[in-house]
Amino acid sequence: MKWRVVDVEFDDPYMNMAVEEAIPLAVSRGLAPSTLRFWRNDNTIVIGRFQCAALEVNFHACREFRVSVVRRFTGGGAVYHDWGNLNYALSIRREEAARDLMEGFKLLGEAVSCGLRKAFGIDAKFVPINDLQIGGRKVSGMAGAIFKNALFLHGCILVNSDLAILGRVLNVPKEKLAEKKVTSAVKRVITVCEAAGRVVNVEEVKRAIRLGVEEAFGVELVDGELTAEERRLAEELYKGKYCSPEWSLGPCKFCSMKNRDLKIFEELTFKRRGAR
Amino acid sequence: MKHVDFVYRALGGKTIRVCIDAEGSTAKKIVFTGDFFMDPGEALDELNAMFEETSLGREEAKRRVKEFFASRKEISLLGAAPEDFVEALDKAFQQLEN
Repeated sequence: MKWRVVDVEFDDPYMNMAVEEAIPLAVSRGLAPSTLRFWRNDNTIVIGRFQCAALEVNFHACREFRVSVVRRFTGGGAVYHDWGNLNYALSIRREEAARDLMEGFKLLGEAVSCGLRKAFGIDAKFVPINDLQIGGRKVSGMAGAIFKNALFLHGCILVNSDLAILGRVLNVPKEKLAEKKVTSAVKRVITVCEAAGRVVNVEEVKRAIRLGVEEAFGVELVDGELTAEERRLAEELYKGKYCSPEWSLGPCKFCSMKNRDLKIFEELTFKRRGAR
Repeated sequence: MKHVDFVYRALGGKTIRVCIDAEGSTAKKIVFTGDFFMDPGEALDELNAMFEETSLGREEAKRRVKEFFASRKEISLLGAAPEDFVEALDKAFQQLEN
């Protein structure tokens, strides 16, 4: 069985997220084959679908470090993206897919761990529900969503991200840190470079993930491009959904803090939209 | 108006946050957010819409959350359970009343 690989990224994080949703929509509608996508964002916080930006994000630090905020269409927690973070996303036709998200996380998590072990000799492990850890520290988190005829799974992996900025822009609840027995988000994570003890570039990690996916899913990955329909869907989602503060700031319509943060959000959004 | 943001760690490993705007111990607005997984995704918007403009005490609010999940069997959750939403709400009210 052949699956497509697309390596497509934009300077604009809102377009990146629009493409992220357009691909599984096309796969679910039978307009594209099962697909593995690689991409990166520069300086962006991506919050989970069910999260409130005002609670999870330090907007003043975002202004200081010019970090954009975008809300994704999948659940899970907030993550920080920069060029040292690689995103991988699998859109799989339902007949070729795991039965549910939990099974999907396990399959993809083990595929990526296996690739990392083989390529860099590091002891990466899938830890339920949706983490990949090395020595008890998180190197990658996954999220996903179920479409009518497709299962969508994606994750981000810290290759050589700037962890100092990550620690400043994310508001991780102290209750979560206490449960993980750490005092800050930075102490809970590790990069591939740190684990491997050498400089690892993003292209090496892509190759490792490709091999892991081919082996775990028993497929052949073939390089491809986005279709015209996927590009059209992405444009539609970009304009109608991801650029709007109503979507990106979260599901809480009345939140008084939302208005406080709106000005900074718009300032950061307009800057990035201009970068396309 | 008093505001509470309560962070609850579910047994399934994920976080539920409950924000309540209240007058005394009566909730005027309640919002659930968090890092759990829910399918369909729109279900959380529907749950929150029930509490956008409201005037509810602790027990009635909990009853409505229980009723919501009981009537929507197609909702699937990962990392949290319907009972966690009820428990998180209970604890948020507790914080409000202290």
